[in-house]
Amino acid sequence: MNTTASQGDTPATTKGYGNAFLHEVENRVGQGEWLKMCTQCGACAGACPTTDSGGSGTHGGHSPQSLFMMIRAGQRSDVLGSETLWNCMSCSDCAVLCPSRIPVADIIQGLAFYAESQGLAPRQHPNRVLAMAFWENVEKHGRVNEAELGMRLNFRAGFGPGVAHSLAIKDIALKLIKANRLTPLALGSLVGLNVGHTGIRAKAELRAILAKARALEKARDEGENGD
Amino acid sequence: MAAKRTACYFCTGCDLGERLDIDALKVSSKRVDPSILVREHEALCSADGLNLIRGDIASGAVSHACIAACSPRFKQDTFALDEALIVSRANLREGVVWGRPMEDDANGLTQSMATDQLAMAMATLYQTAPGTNAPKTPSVPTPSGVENPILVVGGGMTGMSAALAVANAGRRAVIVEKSANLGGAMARMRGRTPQRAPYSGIEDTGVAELTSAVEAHELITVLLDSAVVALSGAPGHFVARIASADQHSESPYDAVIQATGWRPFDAHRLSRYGYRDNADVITQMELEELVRAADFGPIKRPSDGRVVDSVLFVQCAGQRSDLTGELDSCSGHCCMTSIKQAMYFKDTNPDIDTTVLYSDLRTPGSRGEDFLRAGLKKGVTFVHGRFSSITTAPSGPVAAFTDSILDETRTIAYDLVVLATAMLPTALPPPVEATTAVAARKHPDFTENDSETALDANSGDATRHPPLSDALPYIGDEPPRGGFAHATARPGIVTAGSAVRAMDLAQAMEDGVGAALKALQPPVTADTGFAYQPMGIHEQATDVDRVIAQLRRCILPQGDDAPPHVLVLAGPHTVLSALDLAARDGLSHSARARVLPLPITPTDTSRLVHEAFKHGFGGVSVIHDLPRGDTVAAMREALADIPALLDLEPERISLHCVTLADFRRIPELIDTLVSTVETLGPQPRRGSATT
Repeated sequence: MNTTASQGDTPATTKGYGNAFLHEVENRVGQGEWLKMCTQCGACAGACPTTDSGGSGTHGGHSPQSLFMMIRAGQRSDVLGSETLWNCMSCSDCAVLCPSRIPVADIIQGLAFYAESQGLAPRQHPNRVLAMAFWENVEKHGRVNEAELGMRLNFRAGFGPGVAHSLAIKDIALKLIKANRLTPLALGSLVGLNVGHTGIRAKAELRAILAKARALEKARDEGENGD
Repeated sequence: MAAKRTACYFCTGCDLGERLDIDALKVSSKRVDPSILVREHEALCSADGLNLIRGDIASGAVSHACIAACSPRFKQDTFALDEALIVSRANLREGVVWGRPMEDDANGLTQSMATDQLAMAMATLYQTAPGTNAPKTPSVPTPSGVENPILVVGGGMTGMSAALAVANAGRRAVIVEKSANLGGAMARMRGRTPQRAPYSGIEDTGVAELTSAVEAHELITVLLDSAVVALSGAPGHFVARIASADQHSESPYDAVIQATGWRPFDAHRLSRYGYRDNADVITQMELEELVRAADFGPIKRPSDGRVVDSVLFVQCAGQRSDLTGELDSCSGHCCMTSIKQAMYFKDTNPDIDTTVLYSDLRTPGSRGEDFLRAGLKKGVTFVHGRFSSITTAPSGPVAAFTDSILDETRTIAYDLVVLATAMLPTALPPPVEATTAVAARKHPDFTENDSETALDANSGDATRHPPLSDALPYIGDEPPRGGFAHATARPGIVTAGSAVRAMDLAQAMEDGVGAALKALQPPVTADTGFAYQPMGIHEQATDVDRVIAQLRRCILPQGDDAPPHVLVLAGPHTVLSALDLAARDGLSHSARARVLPLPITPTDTSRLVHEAFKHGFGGVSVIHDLPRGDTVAAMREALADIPALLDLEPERISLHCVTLADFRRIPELIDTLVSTVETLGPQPRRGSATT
């Protein structure tokens, strides 16, 4: 690939459509090997409820079509930093409509995961914050502790805003408690008391499984980087 | 040839028996030919009726038959009873009774029209020479049964396919090829886009395979390093002067297939594509040569021999454009070709950046789709965008364009840029004016006022034949007849492949076979005793003597008070069919009009109009369906001279151009002339012909 710097009357050049980032996605993102089959027909962009086709407008973000073209154009940080990856609701309309049968939604999810692993994900994106809090919660208890998760999210911006937000939604919380959908006792987990929510029994085994999975993943990535 | 035995078969079905006096028609046929065998059947096209004719054929009672029934444009297959039987159809149903008002039956007009119709049809069986009543055999263009070969001009894939098709049909073919080897443009390529499933990769060009099939065929003669320098004659007896390296020869041919291929659009004219200024901006054809030079190794760019690491294919270079000096047409093959050429690079090194810049990717059919997918699978990048320019940096060409998906302008340096420039069919005049002066960048032997020649010298010999106005004068003069595949303005000369329209290899080879069938029409129809009619209708219209013999059979009213008849010369393909359609709908023209087929050339038409007035017709209407062009202009000119020459009112001649959809209007056109002529009265020249 030629990336020549601007010099004299030579026109300033941009990066070409090399395959380097495409290969990275193919190797590191689940189902990424499908991406090169995109014919840029735009069916996914038209179907996506969370982005506007063309990549700008009220919903903002990049349509799957744009993202795939950006990958071909080697725009690595723009792709992995895209909010679209975190806006995706996995409705899979894109994958259903794709004439090249590309699992578009799966690739978008895979890109989000890869973006997170590369530290390029938009840190403050609410969906990312929720996702990370949810994962932390599940990893800790083996299944989700909704009271704890809700409280963590309420207080994510500090104590003052947390109290204000909690008061604002207190009616909903009370209704949930009345309907037996939420137990305040579960908040005991915040101070180490497993009373309202006990989680799973084999927490140690779960951690061992996850640790092993991480080790395998790391070995795979290092192996790939090695060649 | 055995003695001619004539017969006339009258059908009395479809109202013919009720509205016509068949017995009187029988008498009139006996008057023309006392020895004629006369038969009658209530439905000639029924199995029983056909058996009647078959019986006569079997017993040797008939060799030439006049079938007096429906229009010759109906039941063609039904009455094609025997190859040896020469048939003339008297159009009594559509041509006379259908749509004719009943009052004409009472006053005898219908019957007189039928009598003329019968006489005109019978005339073609005898082809009476002027001034005699001696019947002669129908004239056959090929003298004494000698069968001439078909001349195929151009030994590319199209020409070879055409020659093989001719030879496989049992006829001889002669290929005249300007260069030293067969294969044409395809012979200069490394591979071809796939022609067979699964359409996933580059195939061998197939040149060697086709060449050996051609060389092995005993009916095909190949003349290499040769060119057609002059061509004259007509279907069945063309004479071509062929210049070979050391000699000129002249031989007769039955028909000519022009498969002269294409020449490249002069890329020098595309200034914004940087072809002039940058040696690393090349055309698709020039890339084929680079690839062949690389011989499966890394492909090196022309300027400094560096191995190409990134290549941009620019689609529609100077094509599908509304800019001055560029073409608005699409060459059809270049999208597939660029995918193929990107694979040349990917197959040597998958990491080479191969980008195709397009505005519409045309890869039709499952073949195209599958090949596109194969390209995607190999990692070819397709960018939907709008090309701006190519400039030159020290590193090589720099392309500027807008990526319409990313919605941004990109300026990217490439090692090599390949332009998908147009193919220009050699049978057509150049679409734009000749090239401007071009600097001698690429070729040391390049001169300023000879850019085309120099380019051709560089790319092998893309123009493999001299300017066609010299070699094949008829084709260069007029564009091919719209709507009729292979047909040119000149009967017996057909075009094939990319000589007439930009197309890909698969289309061109198929086109070659189609052209071969078209070229075989003249000799094959001649063998069956018919003159060749270029539109494929056996209307025997090209033989003007025959049509004159027919019109002389018309019995015209005598005396100064009788309203004169008019002759309608109707285009043999469309207009005669339109008249049948009108009759089917009950729309009929005046019973004082007689219809004959219009000859193909203005000279013949003019002669026929003269004869019509001499015979006593009060007016002539020429109704044709020819596209605007030289033929129509010449016909108008020829007809305009006649009134002055014969001292007649100009209103006695009318000239109309119609289409098949005008069939309801055509009877009105004829009737207008009939009433004009009725007002003018009989014309003074009648009877001046020696009958």
